[in-house]
Amino acid sequence: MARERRAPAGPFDYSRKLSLRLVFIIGAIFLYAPIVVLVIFSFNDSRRGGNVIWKGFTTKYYEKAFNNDALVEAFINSLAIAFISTLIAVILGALTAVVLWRFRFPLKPVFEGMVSLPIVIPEICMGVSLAVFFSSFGLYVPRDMPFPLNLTNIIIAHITFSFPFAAMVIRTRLNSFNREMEEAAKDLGATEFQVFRDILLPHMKPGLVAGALLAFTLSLDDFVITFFTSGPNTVTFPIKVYSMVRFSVTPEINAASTILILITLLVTFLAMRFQSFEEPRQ
Amino acid sequence: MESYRRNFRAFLAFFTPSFAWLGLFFFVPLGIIWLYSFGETEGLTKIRLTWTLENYKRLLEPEIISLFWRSVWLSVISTAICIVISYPIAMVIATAKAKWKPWLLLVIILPFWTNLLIRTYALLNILGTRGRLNDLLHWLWSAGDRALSMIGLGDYHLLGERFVPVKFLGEPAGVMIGLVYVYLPFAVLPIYASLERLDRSYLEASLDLGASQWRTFRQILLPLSSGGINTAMVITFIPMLGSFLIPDLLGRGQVDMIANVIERQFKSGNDWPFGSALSLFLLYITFILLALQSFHAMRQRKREEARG
Amino acid sequence: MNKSESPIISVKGVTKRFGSFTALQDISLDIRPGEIFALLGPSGCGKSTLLRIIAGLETATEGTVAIDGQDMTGIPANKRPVNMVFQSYAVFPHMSVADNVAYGLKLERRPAAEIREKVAEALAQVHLSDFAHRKPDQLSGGQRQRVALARALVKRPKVLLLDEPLSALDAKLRDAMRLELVKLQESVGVSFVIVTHDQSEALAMADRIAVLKDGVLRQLDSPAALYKRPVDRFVADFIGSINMFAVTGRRAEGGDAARLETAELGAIAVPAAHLPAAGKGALTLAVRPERVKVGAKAQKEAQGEGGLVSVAGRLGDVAFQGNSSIVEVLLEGGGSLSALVSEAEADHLMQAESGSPITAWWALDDMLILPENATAA
Repeated sequence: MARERRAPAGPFDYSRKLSLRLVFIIGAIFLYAPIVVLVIFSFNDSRRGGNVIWKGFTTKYYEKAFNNDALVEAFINSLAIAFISTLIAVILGALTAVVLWRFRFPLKPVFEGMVSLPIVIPEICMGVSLAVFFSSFGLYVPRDMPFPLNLTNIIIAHITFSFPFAAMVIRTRLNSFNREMEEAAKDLGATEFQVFRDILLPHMKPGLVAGALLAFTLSLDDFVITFFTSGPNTVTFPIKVYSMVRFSVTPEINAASTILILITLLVTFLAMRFQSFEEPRQ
Repeated sequence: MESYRRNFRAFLAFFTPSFAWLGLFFFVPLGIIWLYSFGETEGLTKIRLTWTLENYKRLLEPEIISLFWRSVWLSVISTAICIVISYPIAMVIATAKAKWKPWLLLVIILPFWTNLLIRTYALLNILGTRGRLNDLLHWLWSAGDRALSMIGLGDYHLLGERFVPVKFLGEPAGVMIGLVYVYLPFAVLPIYASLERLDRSYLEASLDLGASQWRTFRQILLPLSSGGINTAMVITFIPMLGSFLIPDLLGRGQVDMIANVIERQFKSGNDWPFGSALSLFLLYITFILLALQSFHAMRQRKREEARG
Repeated sequence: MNKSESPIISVKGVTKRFGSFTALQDISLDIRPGEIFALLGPSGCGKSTLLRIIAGLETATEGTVAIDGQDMTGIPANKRPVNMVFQSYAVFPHMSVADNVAYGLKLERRPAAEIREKVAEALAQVHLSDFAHRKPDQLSGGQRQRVALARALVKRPKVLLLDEPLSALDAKLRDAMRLELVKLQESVGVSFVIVTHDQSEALAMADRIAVLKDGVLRQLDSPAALYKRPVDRFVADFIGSINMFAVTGRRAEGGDAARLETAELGAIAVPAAHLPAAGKGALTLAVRPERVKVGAKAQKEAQGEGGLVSVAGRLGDVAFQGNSSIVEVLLEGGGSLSALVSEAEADHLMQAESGSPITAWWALDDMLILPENATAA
């Protein structure tokens, strides 16, 4: 045989067992098929939604989506919320991570638990409680506030659930910090602040970026909490799509969804590029 | 690690912002719904705190009990399916060649980065009676029917006279498919992590001592990865139990879960106290599960530490 | 060949390739019943791979392994009459000590009473009777190793395979365990195949040693033979310490002699019979430190027959080693050599100043003439 003979599989090379591979492949098809169908049918030239019959290729629903002012506005809102909430979430997350990594203090496990609560409690509980909080304290931002201040409620909600995630990621990065570097810097005459700025912060950078990307996608992704904290004038992209889906299923939604999927892919791709860029240096 | 007292100002500078934020925007809101759960509605928008237990008593109404029951069994079965599918997937990834691992992991994680609403909507499109899944089933039906005809059993119509589309939307099956679809990546990761950590020589030792592959799987691999399985169960079960979007879109109001009823209390039903009580109940279940899980994990960690 | 002489394990022409990398190259060797056999070599030489092929945990690309005369090709690890003690011991953490030892017997569906009896017996053999109900995480490294030993031996394997059995123990325990393993082998009587990278471990324990390098079997011999008659430079260097001098030129002399030139020793005439018969590459002259004498002047000892090699140098460092010392001789031709001298000699040498002239000599018969690689064609 011309082909190179492959080494026979060892007894625990599960990845080379046909039956297990098949489960993996079927699992992957299960995960991707619906999305692929959605993307394909965003190019379907059919007025009826529901993705029933293929009627030919068209990009007109992309045009339609781009010309749908409400959809575009929702999209801009989503991006604005994601950017602003990410910025603040990363700062809060970094502070939290440093506190937990650096200091010993009374009731520390309690604080740790408090910080991780927003990660684990059901979204609906958080959405409901924030909605009740904003309305019963009269904290709903008035409708006529200029952009992006009108989004304040949603931004606050997003920061609240995303900063603990960012803190987790940044803390993992901090754990790999060699404490002797800090001592070496102090030994060479650096002040507390200089140590933070010149030694710790550069080390944290990959964690900050990873945390930011996570916070960004979480914000862009969120439906339930936004659903409870948004008002009629502050519609985000997922909320808009949701109301469109409830109203009727049209290819326009497929087109809009495809665009959001592309953005998510891009962010994921950036995250991975950044990680593989940083890793060899460690 | 240094004591907070040694550099108290630095400690405060790092500690205060996140503590204050969490307190104001997380714990105060939770406190309010906790108070509301003991309140009564007065008029349309006013709620008076009367320390009534009426809202909690209503949790025992048959309707609500059957709602809980439905939410729990949908989540239990979906969790079980998730574990059964993700275990072999995790096995494949954990034993793949090093250069393939990140890519195989990416295949599983990537959907998790995609918007939940879009994924649910994508599924909605597929699960319709005239959707792709029924197309697939129809094709399978025809193939099976043809095969039966070929071996001379065509006249008996063993698979039915003609293909009847399966109704998924508005049925528990559709909701379960949705739950498994959305939370499968959650289950793969912890199982993968525990298999990745596992020393392969345990398996080899078992084989060396005369155990078959299946026996080794059952008596060595499965018990030694039980930590990962437990974590996988908890982190898929909790969000499933509280999921809103999947039963909302795929259940079409026919297969409500707890979150759908909570939403109705706040959005249309306007019974905030009862909604609050329901939310807190969901929260308590979550806490109990998390406590059990962390207790188990702690015991496991202690054992591992002792093992050195 | 009588019964007891026929090999218990017979490895024939085993080659193992991982992709383009050759881990083992055409290995053939026999393991005799009741011996301790060591597979020795630096890390990455393929010794563990060979052990795993014998156990059935890896499949050879070419060649066969027979156990007790039976070809093992295609027979999985769980059906082979050999058992293994893993480097990490692989004591199942979720089972008690007794359950670990009983595991293999339960798989054979032996009656419960018999299992109980055999487990107790095996635990007694490794002095762990009091620990039967402990979990592995409550044991020390040495105790866990005993569990692994008992667990493998209780199956009455035809051969016990041990992968770096002492490497995870601390130095003191390691020495005690060497002795204990040898005693254990004597009492159970089955062959042990021990993989190790530590030559002193192999020399101390094994009846025979196979030295592997880069997947090739360099020499298979008894410890004494390996030490006294290494076949090539690598084996000589790997086992014990040795002074080596690269031969830079070679000239045939009249009759049965050859003249070998080295930078350090100058030209030395050796009988042609001393030259290696096989092998390839540059020659090396080598002499063990304990064969080297030092003094003001070379003295021929009565029993030395085949002449002397002597070299002038200056006294270097003297390293105290307890009952002996290592003397460094800085050679005039460059380089240095070490000599192992007795306490009394060392005391005498210490009186001389460092750098004072000194002569080192040894019997020609004690000098080895080694090829680079005896197995290379």
